[in-house]
Amino acid sequence: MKYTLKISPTSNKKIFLHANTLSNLAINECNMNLTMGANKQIVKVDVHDDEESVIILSEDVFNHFSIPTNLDYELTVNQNELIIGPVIGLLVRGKTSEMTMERIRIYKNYMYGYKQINGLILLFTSDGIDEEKRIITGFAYDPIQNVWEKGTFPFPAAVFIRKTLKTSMRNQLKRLIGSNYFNSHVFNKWEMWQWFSSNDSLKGFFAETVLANDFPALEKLVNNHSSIYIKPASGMQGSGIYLLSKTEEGYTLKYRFKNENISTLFDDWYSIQEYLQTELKIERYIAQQGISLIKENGRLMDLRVIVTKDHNGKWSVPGIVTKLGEENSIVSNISSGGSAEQVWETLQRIYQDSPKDAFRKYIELENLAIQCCKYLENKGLHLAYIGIDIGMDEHKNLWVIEINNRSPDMTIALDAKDEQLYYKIKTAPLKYAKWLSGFRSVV
Amino acid sequence: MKRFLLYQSESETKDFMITFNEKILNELGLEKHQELTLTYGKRKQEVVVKVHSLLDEERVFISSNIKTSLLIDLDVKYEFSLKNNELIIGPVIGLLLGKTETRLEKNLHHYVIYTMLYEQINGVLFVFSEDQIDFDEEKISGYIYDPSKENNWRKADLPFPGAIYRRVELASPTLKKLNNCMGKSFFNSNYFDKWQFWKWLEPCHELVENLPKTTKKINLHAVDEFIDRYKGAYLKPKSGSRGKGIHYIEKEDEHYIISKNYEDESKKVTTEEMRSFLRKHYYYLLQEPIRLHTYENRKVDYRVILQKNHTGFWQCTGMIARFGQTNAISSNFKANGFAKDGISALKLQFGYDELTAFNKYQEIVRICTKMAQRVDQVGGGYADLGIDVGIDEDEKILVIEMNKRHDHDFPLMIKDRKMYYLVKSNPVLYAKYLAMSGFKDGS
Repeated sequence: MKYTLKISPTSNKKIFLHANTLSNLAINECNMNLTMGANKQIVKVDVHDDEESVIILSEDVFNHFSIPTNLDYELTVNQNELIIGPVIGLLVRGKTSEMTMERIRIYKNYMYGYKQINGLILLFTSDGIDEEKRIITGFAYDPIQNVWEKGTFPFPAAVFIRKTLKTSMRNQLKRLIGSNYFNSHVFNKWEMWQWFSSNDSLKGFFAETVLANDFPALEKLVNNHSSIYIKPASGMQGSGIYLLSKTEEGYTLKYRFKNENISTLFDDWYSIQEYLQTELKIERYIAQQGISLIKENGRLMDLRVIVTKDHNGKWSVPGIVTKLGEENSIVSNISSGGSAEQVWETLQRIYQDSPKDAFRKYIELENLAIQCCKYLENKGLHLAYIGIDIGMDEHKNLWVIEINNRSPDMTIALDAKDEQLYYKIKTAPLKYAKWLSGFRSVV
Repeated sequence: MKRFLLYQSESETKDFMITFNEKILNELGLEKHQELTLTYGKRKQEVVVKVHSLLDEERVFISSNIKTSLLIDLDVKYEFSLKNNELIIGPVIGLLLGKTETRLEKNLHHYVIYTMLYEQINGVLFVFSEDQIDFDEEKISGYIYDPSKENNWRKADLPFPGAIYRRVELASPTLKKLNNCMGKSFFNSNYFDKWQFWKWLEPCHELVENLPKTTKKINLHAVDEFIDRYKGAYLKPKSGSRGKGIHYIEKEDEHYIISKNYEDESKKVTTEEMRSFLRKHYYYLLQEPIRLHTYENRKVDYRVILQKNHTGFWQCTGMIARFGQTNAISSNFKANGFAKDGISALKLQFGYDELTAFNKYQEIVRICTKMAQRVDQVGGGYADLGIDVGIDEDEKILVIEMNKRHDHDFPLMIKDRKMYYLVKSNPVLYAKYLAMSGFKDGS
């Protein structure tokens, strides 16, 4: 049920609801804790004879911020708490003064499903937070004009983080809304390996990893696995990746430079070490066991599993996309000449004779990705919007290549010509945030 | 999830004992000599926990009296789930698919499709028929899925399971008794007709908006009222689907015109003839006609497959649009029509762009989910519904009916095997969720 808000010029700390609303929400107390975003106030509940879909607030309730009255709100009750909302925030990079309309337009991509969310969606930067008053100066989404309106608003009840957080900022968020902020953690490939290699049931899905500047470990890795990847510990997949292989003559190092595939030969381990130390900031790299990923017509492929928390607070996979690399490239990266398709297409080709096996593999991919997310969650990371790259080797075993939560590029769905998937992904964070902020019984 | 094999311990003992390896004992959070309730399906037994240091991790020993009292099958791998002081061994899932054992046995090969994700289900997954239930001894002789057997099934005596999924007509005494001993863990248990559906939803103002007005008062006065308000009326049988037995009544001057679905000829009758026609159909329903938005003279409706899955929540498995035979009253069809997936159909029928189609689809799912939640609340537990939805000339969404034993083959009409497999797997995944979460018996 959607409601419109009216402010009445009375000062008696009251909220007026229609008699039907009171009975629908099973409200009988006369005093309730009214919640809007991270703000609470005790109010008296009274009945009005206006239309059923109207909520009237006396103007002395929440008078330290503005409440847009051109929006549809929802109401929910949790024990003695009456919540008007949802009030959801997106915390983004930069300063309030730098937020030109041009710059914040991009965040409208998360508003595609606003009709299912309703309430107040806020965009703000860290300097817009006033912790003491529990308010923010930022921008509110206006669904009618499809624009952002600047103003002072309640601090949101749940926040989707779109920037890197400093510890002080993290602590401030904790004081304001507890753990109701998500996707704030950044981890690199080395941390990922350290976490997952200590989990019995997941370890086997990860390539053995060492720090690239640990040369004895590096040498052992290449001797054991005959080819290994050397990649930046953080950073996007595809850029700055080296493939180091042991051959009869010595070692070969392959990489891409200015869109060319380059291959260099080294006679011994010492010269490799020399090269890596001088050409790379080696302390920023990790090395990983090479997996012979399945190829189709000479093109490498890996599978991007999108994992999001849904409107019930549960992990779900809106879709999986196959990334096909350029022929003979060492990475399966779209920006370097690859392409993408829906994974179901790929699996049906791989399992031509058995669609049931294709289905089982699909479910296996979903489950593996969800297990990884649950494990990270148990480690204390509040995540909800993730892209996991999974590779399949020649025996069709699955390997987790990368887990990206900071800014997973979801346009991959568009590369696979699946616009519906793109919208499903983009609308997920607000749906989850709505659940987080207390709107749980309604769909 | 770890899987375990159960063995019967050799020694004769009066005590009911379950013995674990020490590591597993810790993982489960149990202690030596702890007394707890062991649950297997609907059977329970008080037991004492023992430890054996030499035991393999995946092996668990139970004393033979436990096996006898709980009717435990020792030939499958189980999972454990500890809720308070209750240890559930399972899952034990029953699919009630036949009236008689003879019929069930003939169809066994069709039921293998329900076991597609058995690798992640584990435990006892069995099919059974109404006449195999022994209410006195509280046991069921059913067919356990056992891939080691030539025809995949093995007959066994089993306790009442942790969850039952129903997909067959049942005699009402059986239904009553099953409801009594299974409670909420018996799902899709109670079938309801169109009238019951209307009565359940009528009190919800928000939901009734999306339903055609319905009455079971069949008389001339009511028909005139419907014609006044909606320019026509449907006369429908309470149960039955596929548009069978539907009449459309309209008025022309002093005469009534009755058209029957799928028949070209319509009858022109006098008031008196109309009165006697209605008397003959006194047990029918009168319903507001939905002016379905047509596509090139074909009526279009949408079959929404709404199911619960392993999360325990409703989700939409898929949506299929049927473009009916030209000029039929309803779009229910088998011959002379064609089908498309929901999104393509919305785009084709209404000329929507991707985003508008996405939001319309979401709205349909939201309305169906809210109605399903209501039906769950008042009618018992459901987890597998085929909902017929119409969109009228004003693009308003109307729910026509909810089918409890809906045709699972719908996805095959649009050649979507993945959706088909999901439709078959979801009820089993939900059954596992129910069976392992230890719902209390009785409703």
